[in-house]
Amino acid sequence: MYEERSNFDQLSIERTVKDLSNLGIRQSPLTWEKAKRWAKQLETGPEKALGWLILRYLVFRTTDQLESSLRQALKEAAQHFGQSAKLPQETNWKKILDGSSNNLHFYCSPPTLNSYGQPGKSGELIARMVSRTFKISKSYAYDFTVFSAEERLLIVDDASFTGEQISGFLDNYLPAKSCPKKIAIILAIAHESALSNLATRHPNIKIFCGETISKIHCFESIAKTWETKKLWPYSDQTPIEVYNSLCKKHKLVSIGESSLGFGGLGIMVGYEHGIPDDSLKILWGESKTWSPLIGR
Amino acid sequence: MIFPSAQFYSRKSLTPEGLDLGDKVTLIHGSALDYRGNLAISFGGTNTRRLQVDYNTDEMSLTVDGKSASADESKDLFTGIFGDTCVVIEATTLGFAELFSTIKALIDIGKTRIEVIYVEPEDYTKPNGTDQYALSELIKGYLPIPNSIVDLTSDDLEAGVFFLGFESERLERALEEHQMIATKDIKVVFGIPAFQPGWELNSIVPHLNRLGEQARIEIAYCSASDPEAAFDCLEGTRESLGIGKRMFVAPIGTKPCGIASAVFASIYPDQVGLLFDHPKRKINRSEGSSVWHRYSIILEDLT
Amino acid sequence: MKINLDSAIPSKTRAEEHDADVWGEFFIPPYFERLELKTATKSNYIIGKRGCGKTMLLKYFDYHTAFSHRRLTIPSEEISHIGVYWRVDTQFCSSLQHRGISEHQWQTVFESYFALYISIEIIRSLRAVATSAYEDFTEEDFENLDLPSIPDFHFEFPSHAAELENHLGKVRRLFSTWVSNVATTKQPLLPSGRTFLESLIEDIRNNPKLKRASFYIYVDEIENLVPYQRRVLNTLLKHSQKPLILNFTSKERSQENQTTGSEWVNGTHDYRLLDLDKLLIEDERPLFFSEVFLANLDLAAGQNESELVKKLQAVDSIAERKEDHHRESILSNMRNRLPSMPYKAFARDAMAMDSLKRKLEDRIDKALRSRNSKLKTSDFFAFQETPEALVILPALLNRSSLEPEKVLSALKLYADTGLGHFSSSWVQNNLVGALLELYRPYGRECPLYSGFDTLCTMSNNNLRNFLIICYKSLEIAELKEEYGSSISIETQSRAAYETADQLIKEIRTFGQFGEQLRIFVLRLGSIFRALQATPAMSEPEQNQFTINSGNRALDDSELRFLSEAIKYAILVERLETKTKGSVGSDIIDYQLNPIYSPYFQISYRRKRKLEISTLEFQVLYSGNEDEYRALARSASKATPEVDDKQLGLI
Repeated sequence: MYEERSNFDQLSIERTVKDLSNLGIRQSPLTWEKAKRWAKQLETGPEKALGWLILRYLVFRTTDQLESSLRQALKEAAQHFGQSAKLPQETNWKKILDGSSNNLHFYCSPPTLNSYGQPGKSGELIARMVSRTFKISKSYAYDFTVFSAEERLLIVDDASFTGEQISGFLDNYLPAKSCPKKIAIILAIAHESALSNLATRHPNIKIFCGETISKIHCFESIAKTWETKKLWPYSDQTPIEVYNSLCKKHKLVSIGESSLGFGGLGIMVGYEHGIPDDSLKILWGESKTWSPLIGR
Repeated sequence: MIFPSAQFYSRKSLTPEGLDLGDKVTLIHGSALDYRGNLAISFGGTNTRRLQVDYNTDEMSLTVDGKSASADESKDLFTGIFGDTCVVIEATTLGFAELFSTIKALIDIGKTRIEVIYVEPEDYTKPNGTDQYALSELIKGYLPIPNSIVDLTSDDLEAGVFFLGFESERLERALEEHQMIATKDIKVVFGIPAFQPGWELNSIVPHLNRLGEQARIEIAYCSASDPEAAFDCLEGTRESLGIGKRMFVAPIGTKPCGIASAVFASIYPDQVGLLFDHPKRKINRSEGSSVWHRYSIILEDLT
Repeated sequence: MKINLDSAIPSKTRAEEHDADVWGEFFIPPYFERLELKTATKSNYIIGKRGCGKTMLLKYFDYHTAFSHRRLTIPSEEISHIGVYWRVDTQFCSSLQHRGISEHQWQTVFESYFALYISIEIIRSLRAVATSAYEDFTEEDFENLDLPSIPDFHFEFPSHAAELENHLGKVRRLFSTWVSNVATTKQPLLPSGRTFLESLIEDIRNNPKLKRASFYIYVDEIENLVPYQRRVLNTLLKHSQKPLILNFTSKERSQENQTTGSEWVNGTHDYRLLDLDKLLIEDERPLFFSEVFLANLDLAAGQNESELVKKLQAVDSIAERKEDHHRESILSNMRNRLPSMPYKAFARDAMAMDSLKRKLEDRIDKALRSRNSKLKTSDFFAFQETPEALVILPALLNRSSLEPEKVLSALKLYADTGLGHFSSSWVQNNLVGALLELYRPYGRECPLYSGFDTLCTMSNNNLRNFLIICYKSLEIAELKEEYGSSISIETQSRAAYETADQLIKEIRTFGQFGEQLRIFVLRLGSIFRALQATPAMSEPEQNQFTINSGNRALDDSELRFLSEAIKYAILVERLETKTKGSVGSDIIDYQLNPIYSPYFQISYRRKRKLEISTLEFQVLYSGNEDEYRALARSASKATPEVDDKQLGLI
C-alpha cells in the first residue's frame, strides 16, 4: 500500500531557522542559540513540531527590513500631503519631506502622550530611526499641540495590530480632532483590524503602512495551512489544540487574556528591538516553567 | 562634470486610461506570450503607434520595428522615429535586454523623461518546489549586452549587486560560471516589503544554502515593487565605490528592480555594467484584469 | 569533538572562496608528481570534471601561491616556473564577436586582449617574486627592471616595468570601455599578441637575475570561449615552448582543434593530455578523499600546523602517504567516523521493526494469493534466523518461474545448512534491491546509504561530492546534537539524501541544457525506482541504461544532449564493448551518477541495466509528460491498478 507521508521534516525546518539567524536575515535576539534554547522547553512530539513550525513561519523584522517598509509608507504619506497642499503632481517625495520644494515642514513622533515616555519603547526607537534615516525632525506629540499652516506630524511606530494603542493615543491627543488632516500614522506593518478600527474611530487621519497583514497571516490560519499542506504530522491533534494545552501547561495565560496574544489575533511577528504583546503568548510569555523566545 | 541623476514617480490604476498618458503615444513593446502581455500591448487607442523591439542574444543585435542593427548602434534605430508623440515603454512584454537597450537609446538621443508602464500579474505564483518540473523559463545563460559590458576579471571591478527572486539557481549559475565574482564586494537584495507579507521568505529560503557557503556577501532589502527604492539601493553601492572603480548589477529579481537597473546602468555607463542571464519566458496562465503601473523617470543634470 | 563548522568549512569546499594565494590550503594529490607541470617543456591540456580539484590545483601553480608571503623559504628553482592562472570571463569574451566587426578583426583584438592581460600578470608576478622570500630577486631589482624593447611597439609604452604595468592597466580600462560600445568609442592601441609577450619575456630574461625565468600560462575553462577564440589560443599553443608555455584546461577534451591558420592542434605533438579524473587511480581515491576531509577538519578547528595538514602540503611527503601505516590509520579513522552495517544486519534490524515486518508479511501474503498458493506467510516466517532470506521473499514469490513450494524448501535448506539457491545467488542478487524497497517509507533516511565505503562509491571519484556528503553529515549531527566521534547511520543517510537533493537542484545551472538535464535525471531516476518497485523485481538494482534498439540512430541534438550529460557527470559512461550495436553506434552503458541514488532510493552499485530504444531515449530527453508516463509504466510493466504515485513517478 502506498503510504502518504507527511511533508513535515523537522531537521529541514531547524536548518532553515538556523540559516536565517546565522546569515543575519534574523538578528539578535533571535539567534540560533536562543531559538534552540526556547525549543528545548518543548516535549518531543507535537509540542516540538509546533514550536519549530512557529519558529519557521514567524515574521521577524530587523531594523534594516523595517526601514525598507517604513520608507514605502513615508513615500506614500509624503505624496499624499503634497497632493493635499496642491503641489505639482510629480514633486519628489523626499523633497516634500525635507521641505526643499515647498513650505511643508514635517515632524515625526512616537504615539505617546506622557512626557516620561519609556526609552526603548518601540515608538521611540522607530521615531529616532525615521528621524535619522529620512532626516525628519523628531518631536513629541505632547509638545506638539498647536500646528502652524505648514506643519505636519507623522506618528510613527513599528506596527499596529488591533489599533488600540494608537486609537487610545489619538483619543487623548487634541489635534487629532482639531486638525486631523495635518496628521498621519506611519507604520511598517499594519493588521487589517487596526486599519478598520482606526478608520472607524479616527476616519480623518490617514494611515500609511509598508506591509498589510490580515487573518491569513496569523496563527490560526497559518496552522490550518500546515494541516492542508501536510506540514503537520499529527492527525489526532491540531496545532491549535497543542498550542492551547501548551499555554495551559505552563500557566502562560491569565484570566481575561487570550493565549493568542493581545487582541486574540494570533500575530506571529517579532523584531530586533522586541516583540509586540499582540504576538503569540508562547513567544514572549514567562512563567515558572517557561522562558520567552523574545522578552518584553 | 555633469552628474546625472534620476527621479522616479509612480502612478497606478485599475485601467490603462487611468495612467493619464493620453492617446498620442508610441508604445515600445515586446512579444505577447499570454493574456497579460496582449492586454499590456493593447494599451492606448487609435492614435497609438506600436513598435516591437527584439534583442538577439547571440548576435547582440536589436531589431526595432523590423529594422536591425548591432545593439551598439541602438541609438540610430530610435532616432527620428517618434515625432511629437509620447514615448511609452511597455515593460510587461519587453525582456530585460530590450528594456535596457531601449532606455539607453532614448537617453542617448536626448530624452529627459522616460515613461514605463507595467501590468502587474494578478496572481504572483511561485514555483512549486524543486521536485516539480520548472515552471520558470529556459535560461540562455549569462551573456553581455552592449553598452553595459563588464569585464569581471578587471581590477577596477569593486562591487556587484544582485536583485534576487524565487529561483536560486540564477544566482548559483552566476557564481559558478564566473567564479571571480567571489572576490568582489557582493550585495544581494531581497524584496521587503514583498508583494505579499511572508513572500519574502519564498525568495530568501531557497538562497540560504548557497549564501551560507559564500563568505562575504552583504544582504540588503528594498521594496519588491518600487523601482525608485531599487534605484536608491544601487546608488548606495555606487557611492561606496573608490575612484575609478566599477560595479555590476544583476537584475535577476522582479521587473520593477529590472526597470531601476536599466535606468541605473544607462545613466552611469562609466561605473556600471550589467550581468544578465536572459531567461526565455514560457507561456504562463495568468488571467484577469490587473493593476497597471506607470513609472515616470525624470532625468536631471546636476552641474 | 564539537567543531564550529558554520562558516569555516562549507565556504571552503569551493575553490573560488579561496583568494588567489592558496598557500597552506592546498592539499597535494597523490598524482602530483606525475603531473610534471613545473618542468614541462611543452603545453599541457588538463581536463577534469567539476569537483575534481582542478581549480585549486591551478591556483597552487599560480604565482600568487608559489611566491606567497606565507611561504617562508622559496627554492631558487621556483623561478623557472612562474605560473599565471587565467580564469576566462566567458560573458565578457562572448561580447567579442559580431557587432559590426569581422571575425578576422576580432581575432586580432582577442589575441591582443590576451597579450594585454597576460603581460600585466607577468609584470605583477615579478613583483610578487621580488616581495617574497625568494632571495635572488629583490624589490630593488624589480624597481630597476628595464624592458628596452617595449617602446618599440609603441612610443607610449614605457620601458620601466612598474610604469609599464600602470600604463597597460590604463590601456585595459580603455579597452573595456571600447568593448562596451564598439560603435561610438575609439579602439585603443593594444599590444600585438604573441610577439609582444615574447619580447617582454626576452627582455625579462636578459636581466641576469631572471635568466632562468619561464612563464606558464594556465587558461581555465577554455570550453566556454567562442570558437574563433579557441582557434586563436590553439594557434598560440601550437608554437608554445619555453620560456612561454600555454596550457589549457576544460571539463573534458574539446573537439575544437583548429587554429587560425591551416594547421590543426594535435594531441601527440602539440600538448600533453592530463586527465585528472583518470590520474587519480581508483585505489588512491578513498585515501586521498579522506586525507582532504580530515585535514580540512583540522583547519576548521584552527589546527593549521597539525601533522596531517603538514603532510598534505609537502610534496616530499607523498611517499610517506603511500605507506601502509599512514593509509591504515586514515582509513580506519574514517571507518570509525562513518560506520555502517552489512546488508544482512540491515535485514535483521528491519525484521525487528514491527512496521517493516508487517509490511513484509503483507507483501508475502499478497504474493502467495496471487500465485494461488496453498502456503501461508507463517510457513515462511518459521525461519526467523535468516532475515536476509525473508526480506527477498516477495520478489522471489512473485516470479512466475519460481514455484512457492520450491522457494519454501530452499529457505528451509538455507536455514538448516546455509546452502542452496539462497546462498549461491538469490540473496546476493536480490537483497539490496529488496531492502531499498522495504525501507521506502524511510524516505530521506534509508540506512543503506551509509558507511565510508558506500559513501566513496556513491561519490563516484569526485572529491567535491565526497566532501559535501561528509560535511553535511557533520552539520546534521550537530543539528541533532549528536556529539560522538562516530556519525550515526541515520545521520549519514540523511546527509546522503540531502546531497543528492542539492546536486539535483544544481543541475539547473549546468550550461545551456541545465533544466532539460535535470528533468532527464528526474525521469530516469523515477523509472529506475518504478522498476525496483515491481513485485517480481526480476532485474534488481537497475540504474543504468543502454540504447541498443530502434529504427534509427541518435540524431545530432540527442548526441549533443548525451555528451552534455557525460560532461557534467550526470551519467557515467561505461564502455562495455566497442562492438557496433544494431543502430550503428558503440554499445555504451550509461549509469545514472550514483550520487543521485538516495533521492530515488535506488541502488548505487553498478549492477544491471535497462535496454531502451532510440525512441524511448527521445521520450526521456524531450517527450512531454504523457509520453513519459506511458514509457515509465510500460518499462516497469505496471498493471493498470497500480497508479503513478505508487510507482513513485514524479
